[in-house]
Amino acid sequence: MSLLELTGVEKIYQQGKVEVPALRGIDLTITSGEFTTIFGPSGSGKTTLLNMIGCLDKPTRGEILFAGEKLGRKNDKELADLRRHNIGFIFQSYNLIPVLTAYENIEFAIRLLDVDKSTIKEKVMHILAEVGLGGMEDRRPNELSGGQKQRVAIARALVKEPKLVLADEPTANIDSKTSTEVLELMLKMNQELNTTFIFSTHDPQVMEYAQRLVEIKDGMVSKDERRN
Amino acid sequence: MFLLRLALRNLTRHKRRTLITGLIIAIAIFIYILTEGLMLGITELSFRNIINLESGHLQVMEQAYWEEREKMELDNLLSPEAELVDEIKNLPGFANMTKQLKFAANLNNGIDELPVSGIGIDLESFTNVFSLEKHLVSGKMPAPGKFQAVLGTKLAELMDLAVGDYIVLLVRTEEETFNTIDAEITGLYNSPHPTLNESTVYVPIEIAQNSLNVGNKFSHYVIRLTDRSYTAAARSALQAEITSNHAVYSWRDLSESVMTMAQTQSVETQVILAIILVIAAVGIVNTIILSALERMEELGMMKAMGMKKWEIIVSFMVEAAGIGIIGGIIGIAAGIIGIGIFNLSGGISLAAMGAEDLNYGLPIKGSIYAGWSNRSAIFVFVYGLVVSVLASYLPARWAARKDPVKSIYHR
Amino acid sequence: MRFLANIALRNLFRNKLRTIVAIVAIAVSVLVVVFTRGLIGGFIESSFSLYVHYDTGHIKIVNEEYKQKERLLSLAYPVDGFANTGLAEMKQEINELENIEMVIPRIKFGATVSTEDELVQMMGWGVNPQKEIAFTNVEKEIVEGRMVESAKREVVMGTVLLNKLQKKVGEDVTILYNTSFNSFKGATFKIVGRIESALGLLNEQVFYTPLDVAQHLLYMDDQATELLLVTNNLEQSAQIVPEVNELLEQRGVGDKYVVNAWNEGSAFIQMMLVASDIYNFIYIFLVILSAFVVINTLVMIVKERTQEIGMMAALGLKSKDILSLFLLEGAAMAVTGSFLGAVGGGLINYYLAQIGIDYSAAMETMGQDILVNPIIYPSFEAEHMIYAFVLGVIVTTLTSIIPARRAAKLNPTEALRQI
Repeated sequence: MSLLELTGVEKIYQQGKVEVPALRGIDLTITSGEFTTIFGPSGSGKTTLLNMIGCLDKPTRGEILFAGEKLGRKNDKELADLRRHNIGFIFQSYNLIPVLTAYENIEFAIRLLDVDKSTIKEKVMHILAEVGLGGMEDRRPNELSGGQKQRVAIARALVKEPKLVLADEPTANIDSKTSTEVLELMLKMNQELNTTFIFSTHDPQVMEYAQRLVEIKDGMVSKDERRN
Repeated sequence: MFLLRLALRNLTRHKRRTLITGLIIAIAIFIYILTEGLMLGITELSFRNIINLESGHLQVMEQAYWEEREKMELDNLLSPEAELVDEIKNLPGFANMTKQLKFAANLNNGIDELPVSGIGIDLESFTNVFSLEKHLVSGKMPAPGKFQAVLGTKLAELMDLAVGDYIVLLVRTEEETFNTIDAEITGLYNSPHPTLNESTVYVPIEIAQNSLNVGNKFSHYVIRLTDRSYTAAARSALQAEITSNHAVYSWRDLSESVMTMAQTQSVETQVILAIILVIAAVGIVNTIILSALERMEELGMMKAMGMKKWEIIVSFMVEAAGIGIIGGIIGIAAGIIGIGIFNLSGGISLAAMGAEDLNYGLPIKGSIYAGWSNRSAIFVFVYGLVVSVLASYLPARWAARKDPVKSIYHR
Repeated sequence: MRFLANIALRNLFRNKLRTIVAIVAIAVSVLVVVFTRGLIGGFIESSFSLYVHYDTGHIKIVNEEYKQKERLLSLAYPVDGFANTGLAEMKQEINELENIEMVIPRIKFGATVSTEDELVQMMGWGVNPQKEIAFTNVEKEIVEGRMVESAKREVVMGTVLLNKLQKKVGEDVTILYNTSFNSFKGATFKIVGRIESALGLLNEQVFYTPLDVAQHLLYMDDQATELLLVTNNLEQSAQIVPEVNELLEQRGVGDKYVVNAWNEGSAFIQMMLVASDIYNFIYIFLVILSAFVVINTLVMIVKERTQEIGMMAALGLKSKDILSLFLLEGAAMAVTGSFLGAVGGGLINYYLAQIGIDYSAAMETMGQDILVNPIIYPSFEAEHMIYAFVLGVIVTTLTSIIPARRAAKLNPTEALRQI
């Protein structure tokens, strides 16, 4: 079953008087449960594509179907709802809220859903253990290492059991040992929860983990291969 | 609530900024509490002086007399009514009563002449109602039925008069003919009510009635209650019993000028409050904008996670409310301390302000102490809070509307 | 410096909103300062001018004894020249002094009118009509009829007083008074004019009558109860008092008379002068409050540019330069905000100076011996705007030293490392 269908997606940024095309017609279908890497040099449009998929940005032309629904017709509120329930984000610079503890940062994501309190606690503690941060729930981001912060971010993205997790260069700021751990964690989650993962990277080490590799060049899909 | 917790944590991020902005609100509140306190002190003192020296708690007179009472004419006077007196004595909180006859007079010392107000007093009951005797600085009160008078030291100085001297009061009788009251000064007083000191002469009521040719009539009854708090109840009870053209007036009606002054002053205090709070509002706007700018990436992430605009707005508004509360608490605490220090150091003396010789029409003299009112403290606290929260709305909305994509890649 | 100024200016535009808010904060407080200063200035000016016109003149000469008991309006202690040689000579000699432009005699006396149901107490002013018209604005206040004329038995009085007497312009009124020999007399005057004034004194208490008529009726030929001197400069009149005193000394009447400049005599004027000094402090305070906002902004800017500061320091910018860089940024906001505030406040004052603000209710209770116009017209003056502008610039620039010093003190290596 396809979770995402992109047809002829284009994005043009207006920079002053100059039009800068970031995406020039992307056709892409992502099936539920896939672990996909979007690969390409910086400036190729990876991040833009990810933002389109994450309903953070709307395409200039073309249509995106998410679980069979057209995103183009939705307003901001509906998009926020969609993100709230279905999409988890992991960012390159973690983007944890510095004033909240690890526990609270994760709790934040699930608080936005209508889940009762005891369930929240159970889910947050569970996911913390899953990402290997058991016992660190009371630490604030500045008391965590880079890898630990990214684990919190992953936990935050996964705690609400979204259909899709988008990760933008998740390993860019951490060393290679830690990034292996993080990737293995993501892969584990992918297999255990059957969550669809899409992440962008230009790190060859990361690509090795991907089941599907989509290469973007100059705003177009230049390669799309599946491997096992 | 989660948003609340988040907002409160955010407040601690830049403790100094939160404090500085809160301080602007605190200062507004501090100034308000202090000026209001001072006004409260002035009005309270005025009321006390008016009740103790001028009006008692209640007065009964002809309605027509009330309307023209400043002219102190001799028409529309009251005649003794035993029934009315009984009713008055049965009032809740009744303590004492007396009657007075007011008249316009020209005071003559043989050389100069000065317009004054004369008051004929019933010496048997006067002292039970008014505290004038306490303020006598020399001599004693007049004896009933004797041609004797007491007046203020200030008036005496002006006219070169002393105890034992004779004065002449030129008056007009009820029939519009001129008459004089020759009286010996038996005492001089220095009361905290400047008007009484400057231009009032007290004589026994019998003398006044005779000289003015009004028989046993008088201008009004004055009633003293055991406590000021009975005023409203006693007034309405008496009003219900009273017939014809009589009417009951309370000390409040007689302090009209003090009330107007206090009201205008309180409008002015509120204008000052509003001005400082406008600056505080700008400070809040500034704080929210600065915070939002700093937290752009976080905000973007929150939006990416599906947080809605109103939730972001609320979180900022709660933050502003926090600043308002901090400012309010500091301001009120400073206000309490300020009033305490002010009163402990002896209040403010009107003489020091150069106002000793000026009569602003307020019945006060000496030192003013500041008062405290829970009501105005609560008012100003809530006011500050509301201003903070309202001021934060627009910048919060501005922050909430920022494009999440741009926010995330802010740098 | 020029280069630094350039950077500072560009930095201001990096985050326009933030800069605007800081500027607005300064503008608001400067505006408030201009407005309150205009309001209080207007109030004080109008009150002072009332005092000068209707009470103190620029300089007032009265009999020593009279001053003690001014309220009695006693006629026993007049100004009657040097050693009883008459007022005319004294007037002339004073007028010959340098800096004295006019000498205005007045006789103030108590008077009564008996109407059907009451005795109306009044205050009579025997005046020289031409001089009063030249010195005060009484002619403008006369809404009906005209001012009294010398040698005629005429009076002009306020609307409220006329109503009390139940009289109209054109009718006769009999006024009772005590002469200087303390005999009780009466005389009939023709009412030739009606005054409608915001000043309670003129409206309710005073009637004007020609000086010569008053002198004749009160047996005070060639005498007055007070002498008002008009100098060529109101502000400097206190410095002319010694000259007048010297003349009086020479003629042997130094002890008999008291000479006071307008700002020396009245307790109310003294109090207003103290009050306006106090207000000058309050203004500073108000501006400091809004400078808080600027501090907040600058602190954030310093933090945001930590790396940049490190880089600049690494490039060889001295910490003094960094200090001035941030001071310049604060000063630029200060100048813009203060300018906008000063202009805005000026506009408000300009507008309100036309229509006035009515304080009648508040001032109802004040004694009539305090001369204030209950309608306050804020004064629209460049002085207020300049004062507030300078205050805004100085205070804000000075307070921005605090965050600027923080920036200057940053250690470059640490600053560079920090993100």
